Amino acid sequence: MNIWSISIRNISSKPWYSALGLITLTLSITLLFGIQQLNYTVESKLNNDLGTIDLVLGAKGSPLQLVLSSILHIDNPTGNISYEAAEAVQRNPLVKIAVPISYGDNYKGFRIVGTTPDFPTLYNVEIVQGRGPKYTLEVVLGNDVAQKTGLDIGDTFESGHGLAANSLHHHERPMKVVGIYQPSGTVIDRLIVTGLDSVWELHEHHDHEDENSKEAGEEHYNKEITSLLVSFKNLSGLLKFSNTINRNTGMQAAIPRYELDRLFSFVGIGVKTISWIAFLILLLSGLMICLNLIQMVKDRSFDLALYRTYGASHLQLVMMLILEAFILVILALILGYILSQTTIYCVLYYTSLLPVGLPADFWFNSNIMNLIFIVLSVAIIAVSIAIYPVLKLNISKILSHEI
Amino acid sequence: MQKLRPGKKDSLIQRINGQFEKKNNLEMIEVQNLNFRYKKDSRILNFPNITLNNSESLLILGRSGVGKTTLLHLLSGLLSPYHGAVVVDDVAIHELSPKRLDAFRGHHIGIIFQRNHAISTLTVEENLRARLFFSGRAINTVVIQQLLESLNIADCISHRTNELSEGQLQRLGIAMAVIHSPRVILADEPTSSLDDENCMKVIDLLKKQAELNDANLVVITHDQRITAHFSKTIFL
Repeated sequence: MNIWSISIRNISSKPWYSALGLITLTLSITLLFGIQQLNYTVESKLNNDLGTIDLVLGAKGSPLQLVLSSILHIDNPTGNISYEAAEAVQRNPLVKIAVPISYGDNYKGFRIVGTTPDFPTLYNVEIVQGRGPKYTLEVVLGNDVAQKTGLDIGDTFESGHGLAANSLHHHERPMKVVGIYQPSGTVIDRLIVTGLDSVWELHEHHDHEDENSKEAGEEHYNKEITSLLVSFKNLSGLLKFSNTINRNTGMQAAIPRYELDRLFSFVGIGVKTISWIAFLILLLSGLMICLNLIQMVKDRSFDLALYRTYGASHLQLVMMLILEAFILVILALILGYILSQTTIYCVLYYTSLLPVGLPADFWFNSNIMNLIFIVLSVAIIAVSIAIYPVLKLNISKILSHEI
Repeated sequence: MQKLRPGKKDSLIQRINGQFEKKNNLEMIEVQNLNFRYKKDSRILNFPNITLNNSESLLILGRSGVGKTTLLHLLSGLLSPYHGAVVVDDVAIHELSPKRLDAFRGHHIGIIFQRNHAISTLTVEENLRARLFFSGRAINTVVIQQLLESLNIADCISHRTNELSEGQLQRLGIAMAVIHSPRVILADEPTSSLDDENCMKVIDLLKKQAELNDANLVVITHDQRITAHFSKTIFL
């Protein structure tokens, strides 16, 4: 028998009372952890998806739409730009690397992106099986695409026209899988990558069928691409370059980090609101712990006075109460952590709404540390208020039944 | 805590380098010039001087309101005197720091309260274990079992205290007061709500336990039925 076991017996002697406190606290911690972790994971994933891209050039329209469509691949493109104009940008001395991409087809909802061999270097991703596309209509699958479609090297498939999974029109010329990328936690995991020629060839063929107006075998400079992903040697000329493009050309330049920050500031209002609600619930839970302890001290004042006559010091009684409170708080923290992390993991894993894969520090990061610190601080304040009556217990009065 | 008058406390204890020096006599409890005043009351309660040798029993009789429970709380250090001193086993208990007083009380004194009460969240055995833990004594299951057997409540060892009858609770109260082998057992109105037969049983039990533990028994009551059982009686 020691203070630990007495505290545990005190908790278990009122199971429903304790369970109610535990459930309320766990729910508030789950909500708090959940919203912060979801926000952190999405932000971290989106930032990951930016790779080393500093600027994206595309058709005039919404810059956010251009970023969402050409970098995150979650929106429709703003239009096409001429490959000739893109090639001019590639020759600019400020540019470290510029990768043209062209897309408009899908396979089972996964976008088929026509590009150059430099595309995976933007994300530091390498081919883990097979090789890169050498000939037209050869593709390399993102790791998640390979897992979810079951396609393997040597398999062929017919791509669907458009970006929606339920496309009614399929290209008759099959594409062949020649490689699979390593899992990277970036947008490449969800893409099917092929050469620019493949996209042009399929679409020329498609346009022939539709319009019968274009000649086969046109040169590249007459071709169009969807956008150009640009990485700079240094960022000092980024804004000037961007402004020049926007003013003097028929293209628009969008800075992805700026556009995503803007996006987060919109989404952040909702995140902040939910976070404040969660904090409020946490404070209410802290208040509940405090009131429960004060009530418990009142209800058990005779017990506490008896302990004092047994030789228990003030410190031992205070320790008993602190343990009772902190057993519940620590349990709630563990349960809240497991519940929130599992829920977010399931959401990320089983839905295609969010990028697949988790940040490396998903299970333990500074956000979690901060929240644990906040929860413990609330608990310490609540317990500090509650133990005051214990220090002021008038044992003689209580034992004389005057209280 | 009220401070004692230096002259009086010096005559009762000698402190050398923070240690208590034991006097070589048989006095276990010594109460001198003890009085008490409640904070919101101008009335001062005066108590008689008491001297009890080792293993002696004492009955303190008094009608309601004369301060019987207050005296018991002064003897156990739960209250501090306005003037005077209580010395138990050569230690002026009100001179001790709060922490040392808690430890002293837990170690040397056993109290039986007017109202039968034990920790309701614990079983009978756990109550006794908790008592031993806080008094700093080693927890010995055999001793617990033997004590409960001697009090005829061994069957209830794993019962929660809210499952006990009043009689069983009273016996548990006695067990709680003696389990740690105290030097002094203080009992506050232990028989007032009992019929004659049970009254005698409880007094016999208390005296027997005091004898077994070689402890002083001090019973504070208004119940005159038990007067004959004590060689020493003080009227308040």
